[in-house]
Amino acid sequence: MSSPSRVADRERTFRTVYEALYADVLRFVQRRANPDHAEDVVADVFLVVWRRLDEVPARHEDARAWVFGVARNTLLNARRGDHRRAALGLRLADASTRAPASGEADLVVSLVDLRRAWGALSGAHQEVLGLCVFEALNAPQAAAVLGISPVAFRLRLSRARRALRLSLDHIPRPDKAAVMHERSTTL
Amino acid sequence: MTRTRDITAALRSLDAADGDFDPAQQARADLRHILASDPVQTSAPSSGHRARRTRRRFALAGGMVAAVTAAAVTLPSLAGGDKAFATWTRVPGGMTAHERAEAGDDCRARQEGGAGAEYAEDLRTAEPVIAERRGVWTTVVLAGPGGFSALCITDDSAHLFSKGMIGSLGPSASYTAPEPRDVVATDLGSGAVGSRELSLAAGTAGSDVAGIAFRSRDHGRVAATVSNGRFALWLPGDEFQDAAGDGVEFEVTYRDGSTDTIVLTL
Repeated sequence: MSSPSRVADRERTFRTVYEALYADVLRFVQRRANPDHAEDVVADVFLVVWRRLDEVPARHEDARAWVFGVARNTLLNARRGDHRRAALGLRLADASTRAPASGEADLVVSLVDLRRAWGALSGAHQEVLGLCVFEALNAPQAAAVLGISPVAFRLRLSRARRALRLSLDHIPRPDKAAVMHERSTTL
Repeated sequence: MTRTRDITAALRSLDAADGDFDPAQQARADLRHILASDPVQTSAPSSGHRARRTRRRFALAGGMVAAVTAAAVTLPSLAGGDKAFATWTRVPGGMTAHERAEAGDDCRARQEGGAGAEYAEDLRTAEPVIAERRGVWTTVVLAGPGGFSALCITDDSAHLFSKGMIGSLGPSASYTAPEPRDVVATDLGSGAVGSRELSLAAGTAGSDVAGIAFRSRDHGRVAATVSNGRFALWLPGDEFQDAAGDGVEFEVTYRDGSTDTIVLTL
């Protein structure tokens, strides 16, 4: 039977984890599942965290990766049959509604082409790229989410990046001469 | 390296997550519910590792798992609900045609509102082939062409967390119509609703199959509903937790009166 002070400590610890990570976990789920149900999924994830609070790592960044792992498994477990063993791919936003965030107007990558190339990637490649790009996890943290070694993760990431670059390189481009002509007339 | 940086920046500009959301109200409500729940560990998935117990085709659909305080075990609960499966029965009760149709509509709506959104058309054309009661619990199996099926187990007495459901759905990857004496599992394993474990089996049954039952160590002989080429049964507890490795033994009764013991696996 837990003493009242231990219960209070536990609750305080959980509140800290919840407040620190709720937004990140919500974004994690929004990127990988139907956004209309994201909050319900996040509630399920934190219910697990509440029950396994003793396992949550002490460092914030490690705790973040640990909770992402719970979210990943929650989403995968909700799938059916063969899809349960597959990786967790990511959605991208509609390219026509977004402007490049970097401010570099002459980004060599067209957002439309990128979206198309991303869609051609396997779920496994999307998954490793997603953890690196969107969740900004380093190799040991992302490896913990996937339950693999950091070495294995770095290898997967390298392959995923290569696959995305190859996919981008194979998208048909508009005629270069026509583009050059257009540019010169607008200068 | 520059190209990688460009691609990374471009990808981030296509982030599907909503950066402007304000989840504060929902987040606060969910926090209260979680803190009110029993923090006893269950078979929920841990970070980076597959769930210990088999949870094939299970989905907590349509909302959060019901959470009740420890005090509700002894006091009348505002949440309603059959907390310890107290009303569950070994032998299922049937439903009238009208009740079956209503239960089918309810299951369809719950699935469409949850994990089944991408199967909306399949759900609309699927019919309730099983509709049974075990106490206050309703089990519905919807079945459609090509082996598509959806399963819903709901506590009809719960109202505060009335969206809680155990279920599954989807096409069957390798569906073939069952032979007359075939029994094939599409769902087999254990899962948790809140802090309560249950085990369930569902699937297809050939035309010669009259009955299917499981000999539970805790509950005795648990009878399945067998109807329209499908079967389903469930029971409180985690007796099917090792189904993935060992399979589960069932008794099958055929229309000619003969019986057999079979082991179902996924």
